[in-house]
Amino acid sequence: MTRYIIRRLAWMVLVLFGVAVVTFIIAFLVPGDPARLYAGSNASPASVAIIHHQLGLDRPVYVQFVDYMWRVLHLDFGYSYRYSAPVLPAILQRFPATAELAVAGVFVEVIVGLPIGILAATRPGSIWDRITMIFTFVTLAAPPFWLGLIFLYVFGAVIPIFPLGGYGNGAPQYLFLPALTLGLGGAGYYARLLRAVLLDILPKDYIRTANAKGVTPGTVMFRHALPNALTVLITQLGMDLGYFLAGVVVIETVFAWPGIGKQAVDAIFNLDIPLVMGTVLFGALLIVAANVAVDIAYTFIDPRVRY
Amino acid sequence: MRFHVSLVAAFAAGMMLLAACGGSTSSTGGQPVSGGTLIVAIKDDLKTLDPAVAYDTTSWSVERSLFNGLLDYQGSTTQLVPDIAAAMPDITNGGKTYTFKIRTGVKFWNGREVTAADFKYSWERMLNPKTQGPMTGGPFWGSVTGTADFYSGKATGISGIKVVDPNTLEIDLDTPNQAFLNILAMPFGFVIPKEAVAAAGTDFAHHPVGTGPFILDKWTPGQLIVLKRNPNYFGQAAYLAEADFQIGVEAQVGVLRLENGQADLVQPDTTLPSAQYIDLTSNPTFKSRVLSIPNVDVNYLAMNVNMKPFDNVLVREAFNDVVNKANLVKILNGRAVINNGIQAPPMPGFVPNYNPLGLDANGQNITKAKALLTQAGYGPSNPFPAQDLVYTKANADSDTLAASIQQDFQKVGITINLKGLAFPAFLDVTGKPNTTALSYNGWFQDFPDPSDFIDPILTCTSANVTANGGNVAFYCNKQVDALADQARGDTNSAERLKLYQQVQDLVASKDFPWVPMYSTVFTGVSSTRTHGYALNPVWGLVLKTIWVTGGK
Repeated sequence: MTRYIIRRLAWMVLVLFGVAVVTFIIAFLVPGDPARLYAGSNASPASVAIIHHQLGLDRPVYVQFVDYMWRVLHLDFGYSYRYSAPVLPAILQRFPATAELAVAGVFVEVIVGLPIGILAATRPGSIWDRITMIFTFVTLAAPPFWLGLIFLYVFGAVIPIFPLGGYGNGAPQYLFLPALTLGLGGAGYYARLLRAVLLDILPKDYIRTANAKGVTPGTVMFRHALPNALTVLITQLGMDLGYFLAGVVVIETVFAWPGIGKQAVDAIFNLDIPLVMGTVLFGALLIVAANVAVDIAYTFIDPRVRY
Repeated sequence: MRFHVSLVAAFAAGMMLLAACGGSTSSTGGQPVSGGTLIVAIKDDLKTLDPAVAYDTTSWSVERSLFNGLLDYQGSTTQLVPDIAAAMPDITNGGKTYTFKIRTGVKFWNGREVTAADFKYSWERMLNPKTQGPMTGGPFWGSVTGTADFYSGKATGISGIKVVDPNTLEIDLDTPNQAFLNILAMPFGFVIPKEAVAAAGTDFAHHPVGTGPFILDKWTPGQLIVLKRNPNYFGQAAYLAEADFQIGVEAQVGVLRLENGQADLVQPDTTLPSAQYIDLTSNPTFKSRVLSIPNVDVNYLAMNVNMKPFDNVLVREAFNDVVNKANLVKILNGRAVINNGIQAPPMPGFVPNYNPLGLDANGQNITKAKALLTQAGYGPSNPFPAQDLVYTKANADSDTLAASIQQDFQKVGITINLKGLAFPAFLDVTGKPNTTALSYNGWFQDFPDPSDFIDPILTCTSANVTANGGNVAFYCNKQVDALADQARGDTNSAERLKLYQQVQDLVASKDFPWVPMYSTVFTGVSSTRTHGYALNPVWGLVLKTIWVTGGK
């Protein structure tokens, strides 16, 4: 296991380097001068040229890249052009809000999606199966932006039981609607996935044996069937968590949630290259780490898995 | 002063136009009340609160309440008045020397009194290339004596900014510039204390110290900015005890908060989007609380005079007769006025109903356009080549406006292909010579003076660039340059405005590098408990006149 982890960490470094190269190239290929965006659209060409030089943008691209990567190795992600603030602290300042939303979103996916998937799998072809499938179609098809605005309007304005967006210094009532919006789409997906996996597992011999021995249906499901379905679900949940931790732009935008996703999109539109690079690298690190964590979690869920 | 006499007349005309557009101030609702917290919902986080660096309306709308300069604009007008200056300056030496007396008793938030040396420090820091501010190397301050040596590093200070004594400041210019007072009134001219910059290290942007009616109490990036009333402000104290800026609030959600009593102002730094404007003007409670004021901007199509087919003046004139400007105003829900010239409505020198080409009520003359195209050699045997119209998708109405223009040109047999770009790409391709033939542009004021609508975007100097140009038509007429140079230094304000009108006539009725289309109307809304909220043509938001009744 130790060798496996070391191997995965080495791959992580290579992956992050590749991500850095690709992102840097794309950032420089995108038309536009970051110095002009920094200075303001009314700034004179002479002023923009001076700022261009001050920001080091007139150096050859490979020099800028090498300089940047050297500093990243020393955990210096540079200065945001737009906010004139160090990039890593700016990301870390907003990351807790993203982490809170990501964990809450995955929680909603699980507690809504799993019961629905179990219900559909244990009553295939029934009215419950059909109702749950309609639910999954609706939640998968509904755009998060639209869903979020509907929730805000209904539960924030018409029946004002939740705040109209914002972070509220982390108060839980502010988290409910964004987490629900984020989690519902995934809940539909997990419900369908779990239904499909369980329909494959439930006819298996060991389930029939457990039923024949008089084991209660609940114990059959939660001790015998579900653990075998979890390996598939855990993979996807791990990917989701990593993806959410990298920032969920749409949800953050609708709910004025101060996470790193919106920060990253603003950085892209303002050609704030250091902040774009920093956020992409940070997000890639989280996604890769989530992958490793999922692989390690397998060994606890399924004793047969060993590295 | 004579300089201001004709400005008063222009101001009166501007106020009449304001009345025609609808009120610009909210209901006074009785006597001002001291105390309370104003809740402001804004979409984007501030870039910075360093007055040497900020060059966007969002940052300026907050800076206005934290800092002061020598001069300010009076109320909701474009009339300059003294602020930290004890009086308007003595202008001598043929308009090249400005001498200011600084008020006594003006204190920074740290308790120290402001002196003339603070202005010298603030401006030299603002113009220092190491500060990376957008004024460094630029034309606005370029006429101050000694700036060239300062930029090149030959001098450690700017010789033209002189501290005569602790309360007397003298500024020397190489050439007179009648807009220099407007330049001083820009936020770049705000005064800051040297010791606060030193204490903040590289982060003065988030730890500013000023002299303003409000103090920055807290800034949580991406979430909240809290301003608190400055109890030691030298001027009329603000009524509000506190102003909270909630950041990251989209317009739809901002309006919901307003309607539910959870916000008092929504996006006061930018105009309301069309959907929210329609929503609010249909709401009986808020209809009367929607304010409007003419923006100091012009919106136009630019034709690159160095690229075919726009190197032919007949083609450019024909294009001036095609666009249905009334349609564009309708698309903007009436929040615009047709403008056939290059000056913006609230500015001195604006000529109401300017229509040198005799266009109809829609701003068109299709018959003449067709005749001009024929005269230029285009017709069935030589069809006019399809043109790309490059525009930015920066706001919600952009696509609809561009499509309307596309349909207008179809009626004269010209195919327009729409190329909507993200803002950075748009600036890039339009600012480079010989790259973009036809583009849809807007120019918003730096300050409300005609020179700001000519020098950066219609002179030969502004055309002679390799990138990041503001003169996207790359128009160069030495006669325009000569008139602009003469007007810049003319101390007779009436004569000066006549010179700018000659420039307008050359551009809009002889050379046609643009198709001027409209100037927008800025709109804002306030909650029912908010009073004294007035739209400002320069600042966007002025907190010190606002008070709230009831609630928090």
